[in-house]
Amino acid sequence: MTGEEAALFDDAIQSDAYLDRLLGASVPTAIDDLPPGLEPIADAAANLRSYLVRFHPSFRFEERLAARLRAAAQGHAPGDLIEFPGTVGDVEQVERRLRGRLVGGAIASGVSIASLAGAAVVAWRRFRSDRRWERLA
Amino acid sequence: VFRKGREHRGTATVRVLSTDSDRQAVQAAQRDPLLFEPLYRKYVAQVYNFAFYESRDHHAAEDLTEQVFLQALRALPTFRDRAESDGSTFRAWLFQIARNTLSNERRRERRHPEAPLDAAAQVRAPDDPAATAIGRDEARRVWGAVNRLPAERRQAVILRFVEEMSAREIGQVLGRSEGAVRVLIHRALRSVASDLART
Repeated sequence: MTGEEAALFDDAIQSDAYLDRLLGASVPTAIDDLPPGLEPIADAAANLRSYLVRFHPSFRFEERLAARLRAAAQGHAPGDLIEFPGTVGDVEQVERRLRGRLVGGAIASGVSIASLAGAAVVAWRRFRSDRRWERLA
Repeated sequence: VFRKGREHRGTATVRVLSTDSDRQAVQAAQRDPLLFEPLYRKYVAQVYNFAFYESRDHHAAEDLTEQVFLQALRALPTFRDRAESDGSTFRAWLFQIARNTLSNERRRERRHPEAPLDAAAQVRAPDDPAATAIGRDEARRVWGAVNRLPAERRQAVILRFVEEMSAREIGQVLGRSEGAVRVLIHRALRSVASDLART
């Protein structure tokens, strides 16, 4: 290892230790605990910490994929009818968990709940309509 | 029925690294694929975030997240061997799948997405609602700087800052040593710093 590589490796170790402190802190860490010359690294890291925020997928997407995984786990083909997941209590719990986060796409979680309720009504009506056809037959 | 949040705690014979906090959940899902759900619920947002920052599009991120979890469910029985051979955690394994899926998609489309960085407009300035407009511009600049990084450095930055993975765990995802990942991120920070100084 050349002297230049060794210096880079050493700087990288110090940057990594600084990132551990920065990402573990509830407020941005002061940069005076970094050796001189690494201040630009600290500024860049602070910017990345502030603006690389976490997003959350939409509730509707999360539940739809859960249903697909459930179907796959049960050995069903895509499009098969799967038992409707969860209860109203579960939905409220997930809603509370999602509050305060950015939700993916244009679908707000409130709309997702409305969609979920709509899907349940459609399924119920379809079920009732099928039963009526059975009686007629 | 997909049993939410439950873990099967039977007498497991499957050996997975003891450092993996998901060990029991993985073992349960290997015995009964319906018990994959707790793992899905735990990591769906993380995988989605990685996919979103790489694709810059919510719909593409959803497609990619779906592919990753369907593939992970199918490949779950093979996880034991991989864990024993390279010391990988379930989370690192999941992100390896995400990375492979992403590079297959890229190969198919033959491109890395340029902007749009529209989602940056949703990012609020930290601790100061009055500075939201400035915050949006800052977010665009920062996202632009990250977007211009070479793929491996960009992914390392996303895994470090968004997923808050350690250099060691990022190494498991990228197939690099811990030291190499530290250097990768250090260089990425230098690039971002000089990019932000220019723009």
